[in-house]
Amino acid sequence: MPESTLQEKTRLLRDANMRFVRLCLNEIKREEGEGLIPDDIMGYGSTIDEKITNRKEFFELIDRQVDEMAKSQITFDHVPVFERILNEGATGIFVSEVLLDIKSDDYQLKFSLRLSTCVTLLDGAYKVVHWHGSAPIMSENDTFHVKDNRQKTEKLEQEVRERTAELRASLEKLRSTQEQLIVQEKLASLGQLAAGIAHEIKNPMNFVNNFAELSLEYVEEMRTEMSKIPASDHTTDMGDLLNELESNLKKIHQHGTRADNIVKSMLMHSRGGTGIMEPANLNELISEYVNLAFHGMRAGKTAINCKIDLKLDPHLPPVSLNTEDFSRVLLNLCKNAFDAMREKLKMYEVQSTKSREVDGEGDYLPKLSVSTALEKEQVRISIKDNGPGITEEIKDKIFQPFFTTKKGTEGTGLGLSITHDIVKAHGGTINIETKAGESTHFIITLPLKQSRTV
Amino acid sequence: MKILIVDDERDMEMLFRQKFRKEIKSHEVEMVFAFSGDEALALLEEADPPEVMYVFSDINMPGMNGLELLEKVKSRFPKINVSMISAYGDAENYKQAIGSGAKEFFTKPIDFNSLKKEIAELKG
Repeated sequence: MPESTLQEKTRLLRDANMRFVRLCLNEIKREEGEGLIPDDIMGYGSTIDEKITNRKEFFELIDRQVDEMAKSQITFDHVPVFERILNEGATGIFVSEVLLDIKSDDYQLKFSLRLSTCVTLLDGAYKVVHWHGSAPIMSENDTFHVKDNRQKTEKLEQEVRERTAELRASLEKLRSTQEQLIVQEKLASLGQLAAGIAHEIKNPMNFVNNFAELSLEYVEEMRTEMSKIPASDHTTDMGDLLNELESNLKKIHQHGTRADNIVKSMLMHSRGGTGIMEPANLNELISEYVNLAFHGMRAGKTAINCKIDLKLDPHLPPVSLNTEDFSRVLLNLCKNAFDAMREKLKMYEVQSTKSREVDGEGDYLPKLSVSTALEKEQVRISIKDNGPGITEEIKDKIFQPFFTTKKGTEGTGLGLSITHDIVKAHGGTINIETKAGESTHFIITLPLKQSRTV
Repeated sequence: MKILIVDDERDMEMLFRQKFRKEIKSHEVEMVFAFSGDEALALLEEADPPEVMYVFSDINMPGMNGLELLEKVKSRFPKINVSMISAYGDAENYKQAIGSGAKEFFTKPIDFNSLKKEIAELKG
């Protein structure tokens, strides 16, 4: 070893210390660090196996560390804390903080290590004769680790509390899903029952309609026969009676046809296995059918003025749909919206003639807003009207077959039940949000990835 | 022409007789009725060769159903035309009926005009 200044020796000491740190952290290879380690190196670390008394044990530790960290990446910052150079540069004691950052595929770990080393000149080279590494505990004035233990316990308890809360939440979710499932199953079985009844009713209904038709023909033939006998008070009376009979028969036929339409609608609802799901442009389908529903309503006897507001997400990917079925969903929901807004319009008219001045509000303009949006793995369709809303009491019932708020012959009570079943068959959900007097909002979600057939 | 109508609904007879009253009156068609498959077969076997030229049968009947009747009629009396009339217009019934030799497949509610047309064609 050539004569060196103290400065030079200090540099060499620091260099030896750094190389030792890098060797310990697997940053340099064992071969490069061998000269640093004397035969009787001592190390006393925080884990039980860090009790090293010779070179062999030291390198065993290093080799094991290399294996342990084979799949991880270690980066570190070396921050010197204390440094003492003794014996005119022959010995150095270094205390430093090593901030470790260990990364692998499945975890990332950051922690700091307190490292003390004693480097000294031995057989003409600077070697590490003793080192000690330990991880600091995160509390002060805690020589006997009491606070640390308490902190650990608290941390564990906190974790338990969090996990318990998570579990409770997922249990709650499971329960509500189960309830929804039960409701859906009930609806489905009601639907099946309805379809079964429909089949049974179809035949007697056909008889009613057929015999009514025949009887109408007989009335006509009867008139022809009567015209062949001379007119008298009796024939006039008989003519009147025939007219009454004819009008009754027409009523029978009219209501029979009505019942038949309900039955047909139920059977169409229950027919299975025909619908094929194909990727479809949902936005196009929506604009087409909202438009169709609107013009259908405008062409009807009870047309209303209504603003249509379409906000369709142009980034929507093709959605797996049975377009024939799904178009019925759109028509049903639009028709309901128009009917609801018509009712509100009526209420408004009555109110405004009564208390126009007190009210002071502007005219009510019905508006139907339809939008689509991409949401995670789902498509969200929103159909919102500014009609009278739905009361809480009936909100739960509206998806049941035959439930209707419409008067007399206006509704079959099947529209929303069918809508519900079709959406369900698409693997989707339908929900209602409503504010009394303000709006009704149907929200349909459809999954993007699915291969079921209806 | 003699036609056999098979349906477990007894009011079918009244309905058919009224709907075809003009054709029956003018002896264009003669109608006989059976209310089960067995009854229908017995009726066909009464005369040899059978007078009936055309059988219209319902599918859903208790006991022997319309499709079974179809097969039996076709094997015993291959010359008699058989058509089905069913409330269940599903693909499976249709396939089976046509596969077993049914001439036509009518759905309920019965469109009597198309039935009359079918009979008129056979006569012509």
